[in-house]
Amino acid sequence: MKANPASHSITPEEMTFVGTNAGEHVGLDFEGLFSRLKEISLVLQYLPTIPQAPTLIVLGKQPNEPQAVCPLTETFTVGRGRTCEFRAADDQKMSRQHFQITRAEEDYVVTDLQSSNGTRIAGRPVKIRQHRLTDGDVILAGNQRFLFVRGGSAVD
Amino acid sequence: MDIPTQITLLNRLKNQGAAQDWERFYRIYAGPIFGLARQFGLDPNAAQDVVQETMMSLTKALLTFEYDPAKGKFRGWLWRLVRNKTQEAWRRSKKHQATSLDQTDQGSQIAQINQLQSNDVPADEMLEKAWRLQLVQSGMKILTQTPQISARNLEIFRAVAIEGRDANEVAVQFDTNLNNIKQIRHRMTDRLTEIVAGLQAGTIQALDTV
Repeated sequence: MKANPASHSITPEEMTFVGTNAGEHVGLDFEGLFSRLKEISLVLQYLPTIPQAPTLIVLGKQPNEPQAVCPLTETFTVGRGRTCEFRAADDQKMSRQHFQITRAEEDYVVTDLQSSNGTRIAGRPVKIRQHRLTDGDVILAGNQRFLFVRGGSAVD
Repeated sequence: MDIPTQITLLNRLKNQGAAQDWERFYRIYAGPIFGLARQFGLDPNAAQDVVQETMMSLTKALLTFEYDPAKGKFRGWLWRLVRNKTQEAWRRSKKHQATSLDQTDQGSQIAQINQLQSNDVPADEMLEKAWRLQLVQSGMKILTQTPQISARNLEIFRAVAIEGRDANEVAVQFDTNLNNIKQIRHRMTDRLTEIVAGLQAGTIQALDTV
């Protein structure tokens, strides 16, 4: 299709919007987001079904192949310790109790349990103490990556 | 103006889309979603969360739902998602931290959110508007990096067309006459319109992808 400049002249409202920079995303890591979403879409394709409830997916070393799929309980702890809901026994960079995910009303919150090496969220520069999880967040702890999926496939 | 539904791309995604298909999909829709969330008063970080959540929901839905492009459902579907995610983010920020909303125009934001919450908002209209604004913004970036356009002319254009300053005042500032200011404005607006039309048609590539 050939561009036709006469068909859609720029309106004053659109000009004003350009001036506000409201659509700008300076400083946001969109490239990182695209990269994560791309990986997530391939991981979800690998699963037999899309999780219908909030789930933590332990991402594997092999691309697209999840290591474990863990439905989240009210309190879900990850670490090397025996009492953890997900135990990464061989990961020496993981603390015995590394982080915990708890339900807070409609949200899920991840809390670092004063781990030695800290907990991060992919795309965010600093270690977290506590963070409200967004669907698709990837938690980085020890040598592991954990994908948070809120669950459900319907347009809710 | 029409946001591309990319029917073949949606079908490919449903049937074991490859990594590059997913990436293309995200790049097409992230900008308008981000712009829409910002229009509704969310700060950039909250708007990025809306993009992520919307994209996650879309990904899950595209993998499991039967989609009928002939019925033109996709845009309405996308709009509902963005609206719901924006409302959630807005409620959350209102509940936990009022300062996460921009402070500039609280009254206007409330009006916008009320409009957002109304079921009467025409889906296509809102989404098309966001898409159009995204194109204009991308077009402006291309315009500012066009080597044939001088920095002085760009400044004049910004002053009269974007900032809405009085043309006489701008003419004095740049030591020129009113006619010259009008000509610059006219030429630049035409060029921007041409670029936006090219972006829409896919004959011009945006400098950035969002």
